[in-house]
Amino acid sequence: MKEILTVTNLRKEYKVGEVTIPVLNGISFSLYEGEFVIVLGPSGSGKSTMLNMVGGIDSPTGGDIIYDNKNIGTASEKDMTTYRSNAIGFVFQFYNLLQNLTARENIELAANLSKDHLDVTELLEKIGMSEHAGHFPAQMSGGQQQRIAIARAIAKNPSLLLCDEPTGALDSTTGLQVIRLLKDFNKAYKKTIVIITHNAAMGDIADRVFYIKDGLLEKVVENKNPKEPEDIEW
Amino acid sequence: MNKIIINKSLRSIWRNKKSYFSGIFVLVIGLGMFIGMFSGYLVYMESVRLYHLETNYADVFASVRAMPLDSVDRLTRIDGVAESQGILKHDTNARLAGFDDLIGVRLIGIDENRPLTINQFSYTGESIREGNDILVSSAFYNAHGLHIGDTIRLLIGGQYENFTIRGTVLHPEYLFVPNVGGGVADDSLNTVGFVQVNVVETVANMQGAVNNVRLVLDESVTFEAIEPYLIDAMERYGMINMVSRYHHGSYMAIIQQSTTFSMMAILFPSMFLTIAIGMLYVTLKRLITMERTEIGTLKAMGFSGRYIVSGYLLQGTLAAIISFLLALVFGWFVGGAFYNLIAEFWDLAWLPFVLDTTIIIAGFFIALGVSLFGVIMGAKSSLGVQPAEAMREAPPSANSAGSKFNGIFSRLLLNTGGKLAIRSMQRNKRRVLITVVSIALVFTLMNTFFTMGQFMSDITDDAFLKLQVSDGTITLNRFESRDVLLRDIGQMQGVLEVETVLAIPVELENNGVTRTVAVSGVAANATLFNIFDNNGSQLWTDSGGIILSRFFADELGVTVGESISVYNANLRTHVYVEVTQLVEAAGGMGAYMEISQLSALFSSEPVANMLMINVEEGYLPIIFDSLADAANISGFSDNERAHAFARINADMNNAIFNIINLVSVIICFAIIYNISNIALGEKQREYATLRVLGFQANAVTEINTFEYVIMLILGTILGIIFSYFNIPSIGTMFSFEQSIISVGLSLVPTAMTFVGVAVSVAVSCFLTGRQIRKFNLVDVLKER
Repeated sequence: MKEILTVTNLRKEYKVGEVTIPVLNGISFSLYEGEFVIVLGPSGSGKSTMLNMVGGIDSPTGGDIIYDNKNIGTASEKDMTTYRSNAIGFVFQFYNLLQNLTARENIELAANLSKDHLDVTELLEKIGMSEHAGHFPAQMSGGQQQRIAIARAIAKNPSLLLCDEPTGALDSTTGLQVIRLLKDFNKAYKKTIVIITHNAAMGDIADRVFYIKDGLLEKVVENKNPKEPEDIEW
Repeated sequence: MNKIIINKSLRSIWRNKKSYFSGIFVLVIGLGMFIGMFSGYLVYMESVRLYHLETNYADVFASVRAMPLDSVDRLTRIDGVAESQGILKHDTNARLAGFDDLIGVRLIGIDENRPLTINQFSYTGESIREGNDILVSSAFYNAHGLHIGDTIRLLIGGQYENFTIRGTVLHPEYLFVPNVGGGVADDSLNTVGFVQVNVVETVANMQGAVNNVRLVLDESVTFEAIEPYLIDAMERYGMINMVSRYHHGSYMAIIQQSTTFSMMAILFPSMFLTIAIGMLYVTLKRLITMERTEIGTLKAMGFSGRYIVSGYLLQGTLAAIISFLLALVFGWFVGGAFYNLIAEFWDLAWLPFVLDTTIIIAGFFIALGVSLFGVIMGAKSSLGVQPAEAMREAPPSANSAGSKFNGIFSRLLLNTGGKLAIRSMQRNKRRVLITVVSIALVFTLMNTFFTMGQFMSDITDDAFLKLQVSDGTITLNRFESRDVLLRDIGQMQGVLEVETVLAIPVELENNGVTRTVAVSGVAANATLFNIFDNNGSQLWTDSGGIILSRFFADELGVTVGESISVYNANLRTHVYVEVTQLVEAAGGMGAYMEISQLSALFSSEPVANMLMINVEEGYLPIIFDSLADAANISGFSDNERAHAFARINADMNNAIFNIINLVSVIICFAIIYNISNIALGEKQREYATLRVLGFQANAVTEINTFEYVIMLILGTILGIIFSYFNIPSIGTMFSFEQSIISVGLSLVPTAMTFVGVAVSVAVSCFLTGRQIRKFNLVDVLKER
């Protein structure tokens, strides 16, 4: 598989007054085209921090994040935005849909950022939300909002979809539907998807599982035969 | 209320200090202006009332050709006349050493055997002891840097005599320097001169008689009721005119000023208070809404709504107290400064400026009311829901208006970012309304002042460059043959053009409504004295009859083609003259006739009492000098100099207006910036999401700016509508009865106002944009 992103010795420290708090202590890995990655680890281990830096919404204290021969870790604010615009799709635990836009407009908003975007109507159909296209987020359930958020993330056809606990705020049935959706996208569009979760069972559906602990990548487990979401115990 | 709630409230204030104090800022401005300026207005009115009471200010002012003193005394025999007083006045000229220009002096004779009991005067310095002692106006005294003991040379009986300045005089009839020579009164060129009565008797050639009468009426008697009896008693002495105190120039001017003052004290603070109410409401409501989840938690823990709201009431009360205290300080300075500025104009025994207790108390309750209103409205939405619901973010409401926009406007004109801005406005209608109304009110305020500034400049320039365009004006103290004047002055070396004007005070009457006005008699083919209307069209007196300003016509209830009664003591009877034209709000005397026709009412031959001359360069002082000794001339005016002096006054007014406008721009900025800060707090998650999606900071800033551009446009439209109605009404407040200022919405001031408001919106958007760029995306988005 083609390597699309390389992380080398990624470090992050936060300074609170005179106290320095290390969050990431040197993490290195690569992501490959079309793979489905699950990131597991306890709270405070540095999973979200790592994802934020890979996604270009935070800057590392040290180390490199190389995408398309450019180091995102040291990029300017403008280049980081361009990187997010072209390469990254984000899915958040609490959806972060724009409350003043309808479901369709939320997706269109992202699609408009890219010349190579996906068809919005088709996306709405695929996520089963065509009938809700004109609804505002306040008129939708959590699961519906997350489906729109996923469609929005993928609408601009990014290389990498980063999901920070996308099922964290959902019940198990809805969570399963969301993961199913992500898995389908992964297969249909050959997009690399990285999901952060606390649910260890989800490791079984991934191509690779990253275990993070105390700011270090403790181990990477490759899954030769990933299961389907419906086959795992939630 | 326990200590924990108090601590929580105080920390909440500190955490949101920027929003909290910027809300307070606008309230302080509005409240401070209200307390300070209204107090100033009350002190002003009380000063005038007390001064008039203490000086026994006259109820009736009459001028006659000559009335024996014992006849004046006998006026008290008329029922309703409580006191009478005769005064001998005469206008003459004077010279000061080291000062080239001729000075106009209105001499008032003081008789120590008959002290002035009506319109009593006071003085600083020394009393008049010798025959050649004089007291002068303080403005004149200060303008020349004079000292007690300095000498002024008065023209007495055709010769200059030295008089010793003993001090300055304070007299209720001369709150401002009398305009002896015509044009605008220049402090350095005009003064009153209080001298022993025999001096005035000599110069006026009048012994044992007076030419002015002052009366105090019984409290139960009105001027209108007693006027016919007074005319009957005085017309045999050649009554020239008679007015009640309410139509006397000195009284009218000071009351006019009080109207302006009251407008400044009530109207403009009201605008700021309205804005402040909206601002503080939005601020406090936002601060409480931000703590919605905490309110939910406290409710879940079992605290009562009353208990929870007590903390917020504390915040509101603190806001009120802080605003009130700061407003007292601000009001003290702004009110005091404004009061002193107004008081500068008038020579009057002013009371010291103090803040009025009633206004202070009213100010406190306004502050408290405004603050608690914001708190209660803010707390209402959070307290009224179940704890579980309160602990979640408030769901945004979808509304039908959104789909309407979705249908036409947005599909045609707006991209998704535009929709985002529009929908954000729809969701926050109250905030938008407050912003738009605030912009509109500031716009109205600025537009009004810009318009007034421009109008005052225009009217000043028009008076000298368009209406009365001669190089100089010569004022006579009696009527002279028009033909003789034209011949004699026209023959003088250096005189290029000469025209005569006859200015006569008359009483116009129609259907029982009377107005005193000076009618200007102007030649049909006059080129130095012109009459223009608001539209710049010139009017000529050749159509006969009387030309009235629209203001007077409306007051008298007459229109073109109808006749009105003209009365003057010289006429001895009412003469009816047809109104032939109306002048739309010209700044001027308000009534015009052809000079021969006006003369014919009073005299068998054409007469005049004013000359307008154009001269060769450098000849004006020579001509004035050669005429200085003439007994029938009361004053000269170099119109270029008078214009320059008037410009200084107009520029001073403009400077004040511009300072007010600058403050308005700052306040407008503070309002917009504060509201946009509050809004940004609500929208930062959305904006951060857009940034994460890949929108450049500029693109997100544009969405935010777009929202404020729409509000700017709406505020401007509303502001133009407000201005349309406000400017003419304020124009009327500024106007004098005899020279109405009619002014409406005009392009340049409106454009300048728009620039001012747009700059404040642009700066606010720029600073908000900087905040958007500085968003910590991780922190913003990790919040639930």
